[in-house]
Amino acid sequence: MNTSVNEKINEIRIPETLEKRISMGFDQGKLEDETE
Amino acid sequence: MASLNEKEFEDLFMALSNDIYRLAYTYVHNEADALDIMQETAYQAYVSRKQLKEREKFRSWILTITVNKSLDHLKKKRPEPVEDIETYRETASGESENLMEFEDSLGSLTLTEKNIVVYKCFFDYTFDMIGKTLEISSNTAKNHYYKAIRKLRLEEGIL
Repeated sequence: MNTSVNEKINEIRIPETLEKRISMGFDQGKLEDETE
Repeated sequence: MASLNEKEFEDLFMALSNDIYRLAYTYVHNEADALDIMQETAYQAYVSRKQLKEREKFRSWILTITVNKSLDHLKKKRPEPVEDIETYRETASGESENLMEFEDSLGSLTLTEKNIVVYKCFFDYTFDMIGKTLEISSNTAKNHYYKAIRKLRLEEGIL
């Protein structure tokens, strides 16, 4: 594995809205489950 | 083995959320698109969670969904199905937002090179495994990988 590439990947900043967007995705899935 | 319940699924997903986001970002190289992919991945994983039979395979399962969503996203962004940035430059007419965004994604790496970097760095695949996944020889996978590394070194800070 190339360490320098992994280091650069780990430098990618995580946005504050990440959890909110994940929740939106889960909510879409739950909605679909309910309508089935 | 029983499938994951909702809480277990959400906990496992959240524990890997940074990796998932960074994987998506590696393909699209901008926050807005990476967040769109994140949301699509969360949705897709949620509705198909019962298909996952072995929870120890959760990581590779979720990362595979992310790769597929990222590739779908790139296809939607491009006006024509093309293999690499050089072909894209030749087929694009005038200045377009799509071209600017695509050029900004991982510099001059071709899609094949991006796939190989992702499989090496996120999936810890050997060149043999990458070759089988992408239907190329392991030597070709190795050559593409080191070519990609050389490009990334030349374009320092691209990731």
